[in-house]
Amino acid sequence: MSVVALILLFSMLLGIWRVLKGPALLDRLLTIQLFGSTGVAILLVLSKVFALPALLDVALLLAILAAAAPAALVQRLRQQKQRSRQRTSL
Amino acid sequence: MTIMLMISWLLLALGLMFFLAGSIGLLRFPDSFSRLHAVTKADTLGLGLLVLGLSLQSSWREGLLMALIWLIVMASGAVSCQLLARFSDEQPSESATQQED
Amino acid sequence: MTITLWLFLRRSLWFGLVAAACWAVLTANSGWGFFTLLLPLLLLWQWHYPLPMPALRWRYLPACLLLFGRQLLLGGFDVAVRALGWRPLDSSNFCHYQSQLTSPASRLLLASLISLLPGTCTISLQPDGMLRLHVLDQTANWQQEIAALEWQLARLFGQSGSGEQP
Repeated sequence: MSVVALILLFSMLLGIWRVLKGPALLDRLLTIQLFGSTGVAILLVLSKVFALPALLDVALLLAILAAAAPAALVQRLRQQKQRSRQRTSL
Repeated sequence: MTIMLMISWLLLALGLMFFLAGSIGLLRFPDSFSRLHAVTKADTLGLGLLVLGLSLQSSWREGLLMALIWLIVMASGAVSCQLLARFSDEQPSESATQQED
Repeated sequence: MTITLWLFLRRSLWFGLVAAACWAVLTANSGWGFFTLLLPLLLLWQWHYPLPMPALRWRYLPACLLLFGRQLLLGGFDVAVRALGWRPLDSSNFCHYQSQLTSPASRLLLASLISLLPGTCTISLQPDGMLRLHVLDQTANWQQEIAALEWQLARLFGQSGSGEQP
């Protein structure tokens, strides 16, 4: 079972290459989503490996945070863009 | 009981394959929007199969909690896929790899 | 009055069942004393400020879920096969689809679900129901698959009469 967690970790780390390489911002942002869903999967498997039901609650929390993260980030980037546009128009 | 265990492992292996395929798609697909497809769909399905496989080995309560987690991940995947795509669609200068019809 | 009371009671029953299931799952089946204290308060709140739920026709939900589940499986499989290079990826493009759904909630749901269908991904939803999509394979008949899901959703949200099943 811990092999499953290791393979999941490997597939998550593959995403880092895309973060480094880019090229567009969307590619880098996509990795957040990958980390969210794969991280949840790893926690679910680990809760089985260590027989720790509390890790399921951690996974639930991570799932909720991973849902909020892209929305918050997009909102923030949009605000930044608007602000810089205002500055250039002044 | 062993048959249940075998089915569970089969589902786990299938789920893993989808996770790996999603990551490979993220690396290999030629443009940003295709990569979006890979991450959203493959990971959602992979997590679903993993949850199904794990819940065959646990109590009904843990199974329900994992199903709830899967629903949250699926909903967030579908929504944030749309959010990210719209955001990156709004700024044509930075996403150089996209092609317009 | 009796009809409102009857509706409220029927609603409370479902609300209570869902709340009990959530409590059982999230608290690992403990602390039911707190739950029996909390439930009347929640129901009181429901009586004063009912949750805005779209009127669904629940008997059509299983068919809708079945179709969606099948499409989710096919979609994941399709994208996995393409990722591993066993199916070429050379005709991806941006497309448009005009949704026939009328209520905003159902349109939003359709836009979100399309991202999980095989080969399609929503980019934006315009207020008039026009969807901007990214399609992995232009040559596939993705329109028909979206239309099938749309038909199911229209039936679920009680907007039938929009035509035959595609």
